[in-house]
Amino acid sequence: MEQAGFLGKDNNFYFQWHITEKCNLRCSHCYQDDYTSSSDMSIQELKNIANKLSPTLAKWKKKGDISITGGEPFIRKDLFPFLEYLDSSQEISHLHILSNGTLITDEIVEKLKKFTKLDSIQISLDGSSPETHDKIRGPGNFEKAIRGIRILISNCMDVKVMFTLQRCNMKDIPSLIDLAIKEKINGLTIERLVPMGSAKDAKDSLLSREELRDIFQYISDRADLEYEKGMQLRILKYRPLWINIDPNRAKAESNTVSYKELGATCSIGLDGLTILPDATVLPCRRLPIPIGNLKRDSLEKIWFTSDLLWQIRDKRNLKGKCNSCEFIPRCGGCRAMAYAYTGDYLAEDPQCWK
Amino acid sequence: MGDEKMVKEFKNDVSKRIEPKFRNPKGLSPEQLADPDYALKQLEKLNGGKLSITCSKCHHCR
Repeated sequence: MEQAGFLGKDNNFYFQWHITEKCNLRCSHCYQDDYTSSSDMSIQELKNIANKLSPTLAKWKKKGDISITGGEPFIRKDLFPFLEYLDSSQEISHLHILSNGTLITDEIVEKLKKFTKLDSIQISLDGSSPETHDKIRGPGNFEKAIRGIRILISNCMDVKVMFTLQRCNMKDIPSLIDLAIKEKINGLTIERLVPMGSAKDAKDSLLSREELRDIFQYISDRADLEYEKGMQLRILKYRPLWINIDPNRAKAESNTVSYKELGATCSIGLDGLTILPDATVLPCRRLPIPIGNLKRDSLEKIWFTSDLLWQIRDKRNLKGKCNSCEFIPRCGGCRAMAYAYTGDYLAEDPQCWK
Repeated sequence: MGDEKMVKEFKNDVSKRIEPKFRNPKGLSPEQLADPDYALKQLEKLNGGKLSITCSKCHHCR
């Protein structure tokens, strides 16, 4: 069953809002390298930022679609009052929480159930077993994450999983899909590790172009097979490079998007922004170049005049093989990966095998 | 080498060293300064008028 408005055209503007740097885990691939929470805003400051966004969204005739995350968002005691505030805003249509899942309890889920705009909870799983997951996320955290997932699903919440693909867990993909199907997870995204933050020296963890191609091919084939068998799990392949697996899928004349399709251009400068705990705005959480701060810069100023956003919006600025690639509308490469790898966010995606 | 070192230091330090850069609005068209979907529409044109989806649609950013 396709979900209209979820993947098709909508009138949302997306925010990935990191409300704290604090986290109970120290994952080896984290994009953070500071967990002090020294720059976290108070709940009143968070509300003030939300209040600044609302008039602009109304003027743009858009609704805010916000993913609340951290650090670990459930570590903040005032997460629920803030969610309540957002849930009651007329300018916000959807809320999501991105979490490591380890702190989720029955009591927390009871509180979550009252938020009418809360659409999904994303839990990070970096392996299909404790051996793999805990090597990245610390001992005991696989069982805690699975427990959290089970509590959420038993309470009819929409659970999605994020898997960060790297050398040490690449062989786990088949069993991860098995696990996701078995646990009745609704969505699975396999994201590439970007070497930054705690993983800044982890370039050895990156897959080669050929390894990445083979894994994406496997996932695509497996997803097609499972869909035919009626799989509920949606493997979300709306990311740069996926289009290389089967370009014909982007040539369909329909103006709707099927879950079977592959590839999507990165959203930088198109329909979303990332907000950090101190109100710094990034084009994407994995591209750590500030483009403003909502304490002093308006959303309009950032969106309409950021030099970096205009550079990336103009696809003629892309370099290397990305510059002349026919798949730009469905790819354009990952600008964060280009930056992490070369120091130039306009460089070609270093993992593209085309 | 000096530049490489600087890039390495900068790229892992989000907020303290890099100042945001803004363009002079006089160098942008009225549409660029008023339509939040300007870039998305340009991309759709590039795609032959077909819907262009963006990765933000699946809410799976980390």
